[in-house]
Amino acid sequence: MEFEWSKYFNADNFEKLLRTLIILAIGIAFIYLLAFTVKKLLPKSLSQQRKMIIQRLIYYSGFLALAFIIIAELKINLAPFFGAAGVIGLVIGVASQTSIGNIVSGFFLVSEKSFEIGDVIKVGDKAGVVFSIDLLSIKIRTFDNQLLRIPNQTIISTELINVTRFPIRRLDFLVSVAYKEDLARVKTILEEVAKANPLSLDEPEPLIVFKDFGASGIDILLGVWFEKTNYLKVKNSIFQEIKQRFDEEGIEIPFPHVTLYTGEATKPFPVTTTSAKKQQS
Amino acid sequence: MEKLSIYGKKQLEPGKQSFIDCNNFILGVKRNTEGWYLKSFERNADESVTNPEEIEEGMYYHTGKSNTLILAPALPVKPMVFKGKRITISPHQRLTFFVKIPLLMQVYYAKKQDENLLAEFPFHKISDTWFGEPVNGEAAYALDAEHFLDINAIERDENSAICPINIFNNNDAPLELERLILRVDQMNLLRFKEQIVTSLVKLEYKGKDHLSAVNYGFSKALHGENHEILAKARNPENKSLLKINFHFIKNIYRTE
Repeated sequence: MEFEWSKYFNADNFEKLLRTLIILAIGIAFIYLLAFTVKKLLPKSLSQQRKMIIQRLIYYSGFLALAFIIIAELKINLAPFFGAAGVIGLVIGVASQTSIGNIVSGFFLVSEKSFEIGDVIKVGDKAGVVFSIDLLSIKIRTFDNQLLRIPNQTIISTELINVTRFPIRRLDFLVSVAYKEDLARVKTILEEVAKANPLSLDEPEPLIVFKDFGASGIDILLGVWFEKTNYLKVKNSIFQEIKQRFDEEGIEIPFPHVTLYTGEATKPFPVTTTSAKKQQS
Repeated sequence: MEKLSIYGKKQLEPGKQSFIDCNNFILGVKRNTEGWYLKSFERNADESVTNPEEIEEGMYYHTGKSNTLILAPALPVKPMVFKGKRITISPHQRLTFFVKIPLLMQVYYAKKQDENLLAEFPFHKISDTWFGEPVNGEAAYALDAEHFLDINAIERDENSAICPINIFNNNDAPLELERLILRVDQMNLLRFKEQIVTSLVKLEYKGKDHLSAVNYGFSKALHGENHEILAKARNPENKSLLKINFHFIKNIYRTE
């Protein structure tokens, strides 16, 4: 059986193909131009996320329309495709179950508005800045500058913390002091540390809670409110200032101690240091 | 401007330097051929300790050939929250009182115009605070100053401005002032009788659940007839505005 080249490679088909390529090129250029123009015309007050959604809508609907135009131009008969649509649909449905789940989850995520592009979020033990919200996944730029892709389905079924949702935050420091310390004095020092730091908000007031009689000392929680952009500055400065003030005031920050007893209730295990012995002699 | 000694024009020839005593700090200025070095020094007990060479460790501003620097007072960038612990205004009564607002020093080159602003140096350390609820409030600076009922009782001070506040309690309940936001970015800074005075803050309180009307304007008694404006408002608002100006604390964990 001889293949009829002329049936497919003739002037008619060549003209059709050329026309299709021109339509494709113009169509793609038009879609990009339209998306670019709309992006420029969108009000500045609109969030980045909304801008991205509008742009994506233009791309997806534009390319879909372009596909239909090309199919019509090539005069492809879609009837056999539609005939097989039931079977194909079933196959595609099974094969792309996860993808469809992700797309549907993506719509819920966008409508729920739990986070937007630029927000800092924590998902499980991962944290970073939302980089993009796409059809199947969200992308996060981690603080060590890696790109983390999380499927939309995972996001929707996991606990997520939006760290920067509200304009101010509270940063908690767990401080431990020795049992011998005067707690009223320690509280005053912590209040002074919070007050002296210009980035720590004086309202809402810093929170000081005596948390626990711990294994080595008394645990105290100092909660300092700050504007979300000052996180690192506040964390480092308050940390240093607590240590500095405690050193200046002679407040002991305890670490785990183990005392050995020889059996009597009050007498500790007798210990003699060798250097002390040498000095005595 | 005899007594307002910090502010005004300073001339420096290329290669010359100067230390300007700004009360709470010392401003080191060095003129380069076509620019300026600026550095603020903390006030030492012994002023001679300030090393002139350290000025070059400060910021360098390349500005051109003008040898003139202008030092001018300015109000802070963020609003200030006044904590009124001891003021109650009875229904349908009007109160005028005064508070002192800490100022900044602006440094301009050649001419005092926005594009010639080089730097701002605060005279006082001001703490950040939050006005309103944690979910929808406003960033501000804390104003822990006392209030005065008589303007003459306030000591003249180049590093602070007097802010006159007039509140009309147009409500049937007494107004216990807890937190009041002063949008200093919408106020002008004027000189009157050798005092630095801000625009008059005129407020009408209509109740806890209502927005209050605020207006930042002038008064003949407080600003004179010819207004001598030292600094224009950063964000001028001409119309009377309905805004949240009063805040009442709802914190259930308050310890006081």
